[in-house]
Amino acid sequence: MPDGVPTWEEVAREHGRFLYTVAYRLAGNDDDAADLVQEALLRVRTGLQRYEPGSLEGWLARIVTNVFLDEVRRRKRRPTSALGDDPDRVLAPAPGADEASTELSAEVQAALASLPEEFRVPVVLCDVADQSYEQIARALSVPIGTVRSRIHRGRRLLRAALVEEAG
Amino acid sequence: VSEHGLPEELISAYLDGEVDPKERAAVDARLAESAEWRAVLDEVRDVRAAVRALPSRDAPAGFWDELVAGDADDENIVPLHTRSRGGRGLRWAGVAAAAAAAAVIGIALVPAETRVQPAVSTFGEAHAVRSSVGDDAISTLAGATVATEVGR
Repeated sequence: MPDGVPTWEEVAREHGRFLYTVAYRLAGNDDDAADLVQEALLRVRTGLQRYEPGSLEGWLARIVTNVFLDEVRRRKRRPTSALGDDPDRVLAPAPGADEASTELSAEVQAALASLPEEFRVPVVLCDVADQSYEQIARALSVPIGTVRSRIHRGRRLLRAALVEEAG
Repeated sequence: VSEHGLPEELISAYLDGEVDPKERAAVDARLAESAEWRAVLDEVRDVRAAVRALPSRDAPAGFWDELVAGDADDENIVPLHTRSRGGRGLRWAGVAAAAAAAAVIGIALVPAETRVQPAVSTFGEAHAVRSSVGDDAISTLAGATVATEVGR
């Protein structure tokens, strides 16, 4: 790792799972997550020289979020291919996973996928990517107060969606 | 905003440790006097814990290997926004990634005779990070309908 700059291989090997998990929670299905990760890694490659030593995963989360938002905007212009919440693709059980926890995870994932992107993105960045409000605000180019508001509203909407699913 | 002028969104910030000491004291005081706020706190805490408990997600088998190995034909190099939704497009990225890795770490992952069209550098530049700086990256999504179709 010369000059502290991570190589593409290091990014893929050491942070690939993190990157894929964030992409999956944003997109809601494996096919779109795979696409997001590929595009993100291409951007990682082109942006490596701009990387400043610090939170590599924060930087990766920001890039994959930008890829996701770009794709959401693009698909809005072509609404037949909206991104996210395909119920048939949500969270295939992992081998050996506990049935109850798998079911709960599927419910939470489905609720997450049901959130409008403006709330889903900050919630995923906070609770999946473990980013601070300041990092999220920078990633989304919004004030911290907006991050606060969207995370809270997002969680309230999640709660409502989970209650509705349970009912 | 509650009748006491304290915004309810402080509850999430409180749980996330994203409040200053003055705000924390105000939330503590409000929680002590309001059953409604305590109920919201419990609900938000549960939801927050549920999302944080979601397991890490592994990429499909072979995803990373294919990405690194990339041995696609030139015509499979298709950027995300023009890719057919009917089939997976790992191979284009494999080529780009392999070439990128070779360029970055100096390892010849791509045989010398393999041509990448467009050139990786050109392709990379064309898809360089589209910075959101200066724009509110997600406010434009406000009011978006919830995605209901993947369209494959």
